Amino acid sequence: MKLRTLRYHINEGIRSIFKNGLMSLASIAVVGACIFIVIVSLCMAVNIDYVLEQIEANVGISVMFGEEPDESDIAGIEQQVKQIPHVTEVKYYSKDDALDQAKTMFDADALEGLREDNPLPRSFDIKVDDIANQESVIKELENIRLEFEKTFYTDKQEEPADEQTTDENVQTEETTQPVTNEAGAVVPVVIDSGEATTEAARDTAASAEDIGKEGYVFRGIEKINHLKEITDVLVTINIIVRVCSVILIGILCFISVGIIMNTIKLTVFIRKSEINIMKYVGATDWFIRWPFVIEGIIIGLIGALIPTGICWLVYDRIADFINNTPFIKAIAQLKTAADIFCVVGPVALLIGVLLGAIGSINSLEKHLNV
Amino acid sequence: MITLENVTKIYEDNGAVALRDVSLKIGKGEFVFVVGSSGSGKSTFIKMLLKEVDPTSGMLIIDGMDITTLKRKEIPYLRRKVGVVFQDFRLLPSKTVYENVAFAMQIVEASPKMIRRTVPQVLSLVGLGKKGKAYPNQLSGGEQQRVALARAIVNKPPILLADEPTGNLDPDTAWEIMELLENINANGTTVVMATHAKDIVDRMKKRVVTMDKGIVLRDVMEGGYDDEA
Repeated sequence: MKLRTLRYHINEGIRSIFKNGLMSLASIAVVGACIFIVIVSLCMAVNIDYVLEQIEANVGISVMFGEEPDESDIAGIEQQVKQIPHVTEVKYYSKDDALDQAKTMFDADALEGLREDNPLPRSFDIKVDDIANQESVIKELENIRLEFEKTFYTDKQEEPADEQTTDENVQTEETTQPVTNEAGAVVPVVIDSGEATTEAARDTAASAEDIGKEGYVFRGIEKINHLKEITDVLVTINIIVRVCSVILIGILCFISVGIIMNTIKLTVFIRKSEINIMKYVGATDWFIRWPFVIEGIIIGLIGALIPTGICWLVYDRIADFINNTPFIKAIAQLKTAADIFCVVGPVALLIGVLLGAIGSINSLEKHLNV
Repeated sequence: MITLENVTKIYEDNGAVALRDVSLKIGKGEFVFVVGSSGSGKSTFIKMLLKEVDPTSGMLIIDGMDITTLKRKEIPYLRRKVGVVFQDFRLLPSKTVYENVAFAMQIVEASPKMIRRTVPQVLSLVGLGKKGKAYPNQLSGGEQQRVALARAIVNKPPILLADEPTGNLDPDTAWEIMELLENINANGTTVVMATHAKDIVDRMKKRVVTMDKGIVLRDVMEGGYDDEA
């Protein structure tokens, strides 16, 4: 196609939009409404995904320590934990770290008073590569915990659990049981004896659970927090949202093409005689199509631009509000308008252009057979 | 220029036989009237020349090209060789007279310079030199047919088909259109005109092909409407 012919088609397309003013307006409204819904579902899908991602990232496993294990015990355990498959990160929080973190969430001045007599436990924050692998990691952690506690209390099973004893315990453990300590620190030993450990663990697992239920406070590893229920729910929501949004967007696009085709069919029908005449004068099919296609594309573009603009402005306000609201922002943030619309915007425009072009080509075909 | 060899057309939907084994030769630069009553097959003949309908059997050659084997994509190029005017003018109502004519040139991707030069020439040829800016609905029937004629010849096709071009016009205006057609023919264009207008056929003294029930009843040089063969 020569450039001047393209210019002719564009002029014709634009002229026709103005000439069929009401019809064009109706088409723009239909495209706009459809794309509006597509944008809203896209925004929701992207954000739910994003929020889930953040929550998933936060729902790591935390292992809290009692007062008894000293730093070298913890270092030994850390080595063991790092060897568990699927563990990507093990971060140690000292009591001071825990307090600093708490200060970011709560009243900093009030918390500062706790510095001297800090009740917050030391802990590991463990990140797992995929939320689905969390359970296997937790099993391993339970094994480590049982193994550790078994050796930790071997000689002191009857000891009452008060502060004094605890201190002694630590000392005893350090001095009288260097093997355990070594075993804790030298990881391959643990891995090699994995089967045996598991066996032993299985024996004690039941009792540990029972004790847990009765509120027994473990002296060594106090608690393994993993919020399994939450992660399960999140994974389910994630899947549901993804499936639903794909289905919804699919259905909407289908409906949109139908409505747009009908709208453009009406325009084409009005101009049936015009198309007929063009055919008699020797116009090729594409020569006839182009003005309609360009008209469709322009209608699609305008129909996409309007809801994109409106959604952008509204979304910007919503994201701004949510991302600056205390409590909510601590749980999860929304993507910023710029972030989301640099993807959703072009997608919406592309859908608009495609809807317009496909709609006009499809509705023309019947009338081209002259 | 136009050759029909044993052309038969049977419409599939109702089984009607529109043309029955028709053979006909029209030479370059000829002026031919095709006459006959409704249902005689002359409309089918005209439609066939535009490849609007295909023959059921037989061969149809236009300007050396067998159009029965023409692909759909090639039809526009055939139609550029065959200018056509209809009884109902078929102008684009939303375009001015000038644009209606220029449109035919835009389709063949003529340069704007060429269009600007040629369209006024053709318009003054059909006597509408000053009506370029008018819209079809502002013109009389005769003027509209002149616009249609201008559009049909602007790309200088070797063949001009006229399907009852005077059917909607009063006798005086009809005669003006006939004079134009004669001029166009004098410039070398082959003109094939289907008509009912007895007086025009009788007065023009051109070749007359009379059709009846799908066959060529008579083919007379310098004939009249009711001539015997």
